[in-house]
Parts: sequence; structure tokens; C-alpha cells
Amino acid sequence: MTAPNRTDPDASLSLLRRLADDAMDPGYQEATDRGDQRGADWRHSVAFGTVIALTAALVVAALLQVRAGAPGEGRTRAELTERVLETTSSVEAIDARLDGLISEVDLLRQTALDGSGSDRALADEVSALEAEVGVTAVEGQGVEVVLDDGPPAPVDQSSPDLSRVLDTDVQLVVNGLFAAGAEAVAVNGQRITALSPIRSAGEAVLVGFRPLTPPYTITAVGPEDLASDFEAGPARAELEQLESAYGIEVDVVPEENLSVPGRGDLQLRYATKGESP
Amino acid sequence: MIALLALVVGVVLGLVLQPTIPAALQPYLPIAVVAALDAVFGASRALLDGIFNDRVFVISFIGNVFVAALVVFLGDQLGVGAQLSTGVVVVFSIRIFANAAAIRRHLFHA
Repeated sequence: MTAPNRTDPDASLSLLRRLADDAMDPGYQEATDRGDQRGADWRHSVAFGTVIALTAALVVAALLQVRAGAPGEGRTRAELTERVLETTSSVEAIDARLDGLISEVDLLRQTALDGSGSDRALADEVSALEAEVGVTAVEGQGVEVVLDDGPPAPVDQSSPDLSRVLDTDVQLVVNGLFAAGAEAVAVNGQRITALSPIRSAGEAVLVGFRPLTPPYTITAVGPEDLASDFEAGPARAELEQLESAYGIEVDVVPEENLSVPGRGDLQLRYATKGESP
Repeated sequence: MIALLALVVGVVLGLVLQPTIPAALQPYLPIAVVAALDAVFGASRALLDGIFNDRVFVISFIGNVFVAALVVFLGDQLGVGAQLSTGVVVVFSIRIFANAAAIRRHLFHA
């Protein structure tokens, strides 16, 4: 059996109690007990005045800083923006270099296949296939579908905000356009290939692993009746439902002259280098 | 007298010079202000108790500000800067409250 605990019942609060009891610096009491003369020296007065002035300046500086809207925060944001811009420009430079290399490859292939009729036919087949799989840009008439977020719904943590354009909505349009006979489709300038996922990460819609921001412009090049086929298809009916139920803005515009960019960076997964003739 | 004069000089200096705190010191400014306020409240109470001593005040002021900033700086280096800032602010607020209560009792006898 343990001895009854005789310590102070609020011993656990002793820290707080001591804080409050010693609130005034014990040094004042000690100095008085020692019999220190106060204000005996002009240097003391100067030091005292300096400290008071320092306190006032400190408080004013802190107030000004807070009023200035926390420059630290602004600075961080500016730094982040700068880094984003820097990275974006470097990505653009790399993209430009990629485009140059692609056209160089094209040129080399053309010179390599510039011989007999069978070579010519092979070159034609290659460029036709390239347009189809999405390596090269495609131009022509087609249709442009613009999706934009509806008015924000009341916040509900349990389910995603359905007034936003979701990845499935973009998938719906892209699939509908392909079903209507589109030859080439791009979302916000990102060409859809057989290997382009359309998915969401958090609130962003990712197409080909690139995050896009609304409004989503889906450009499709295809036959003359692409627009009418799309309008008549099941995707359009579903879009209308999205429009009426969630306020998502859908805009379908047939265009005479559209350009869908190429993907450019398709890798050859199964092809191997052949024997040179 | 000196205190009032110094107060006015300090406010005017702060307003006129608009000192920009170096970015590296910015996290410590609020802590320093709270520590300084604590020293001032302690001094006011000592004044009312009749045991004010300017030497103790100057030393406690500088010590308070320096140690508070040092603790937060160490916390930053150890990755617990925010928590230690909270701790420092809590300790100083308790002291300020206690001193303010003592001053209130002195002034209003209530």
C-alpha cells in the first residue's frame, strides 16, 4: 500500500502559479532589499530612456509591419511566382528545342525516303500514321467545345463540388468527339493520344499529366458532319444534363479552320532499330 | 519625465524612420515586442510598489528580449519554432496579465 499523497493538491499547477507570482521581476525586490540607490547615476537615466524609446520604436515597427500586410508573405509569394515563371520559361525553351528536333527528324526521314516510289509511299504512310496517333499537328475544319465551371455550389465537404468541371466531364466530351468521328482532339492545347490519361488530381484536371485550368477548350478536327454528329450523340445529351443540373457551361461551336497541335514526345516502345540496307 | 520624453521620441523615431526589419529577423519581432511589453508591465508594477530600479529594468528588458528571441531562434533551428513561439507568448501573456492585475489593484484598489 502506498502512502497517501501529502503534496499540494494543485501541485501540477505550480508552474502556472509561479509564473503569476513571479510576474514582476524578483530583481526589483532584491535590489530594494540590497538597498540599491535608484536613479543615482545619469547613465542609468540614459539607459532607462533608451530602453523606453526602444520599446516604443519596436512596437511602432511591429505595428507598421503588420499594417503593411505582412511583407514576408508577399515576398514568399513573389519568390514562388518568380520560380514558376522561371520553370515555365525553361519548359518552353525545352519544348521549342523538341519542336526543332522533331522537324529535324522529319527532314532527315524525308531525305532518307526520297528515292523510289515505294519509299514515297512509305513516307506518306508514316505521315498519315503520325497525324493519326498524334505526333504531328492536324489542321482542318472541326468543332470546338468549351466547358466551364458553373456557379459554385454550397460547400459540402463530403462530396466533390459538382459544379466544377470534373475529369469525367472532359472524358465525356473527348470520347463523344471521337465517337462522332474526330481525327484529332486536344484539350487546352494538349493533344489526346492513345496514351493520354484524363484524370483529376485534387481539384485540377490533368490531361497527359499536365494540370489544366478552366475553361477547358476541347478542339477536334474531323469530317464535315463532326459537329452535327456530336450534337446528335449521347455525349451531348449527357452534357445537357450537366448543364441543367450543375450549371456547367457548355459551348459547342463548329469551326472552319482549326489546328490541333501534335504531341511530339511519343516514345517508340516496341520498335527497334532495323538493319541498315 | 524621462519615460514620457523617451516614449514620444521612440514613437516619432519609429514613425519617421519606418525601420524595415531584415527578413531574417522578422519572425522574432513580435516575440521581442511581447517580451518588451512584459518588461514594461513589470516595471510599471514595481514603480507602483515603490521598488522600481532602473538598472533592474534595463537588464530585465534586454535579457527578456534577447532570451525570447534566442529561444525562438533555437526552436526554428530545431524545427519547433512555431510551438516555442506559442510557449513564449503564453508565458509572457500570463505575466503581463498578472502584472496588469496587480497594477489595477494598486490604482483602483479593486
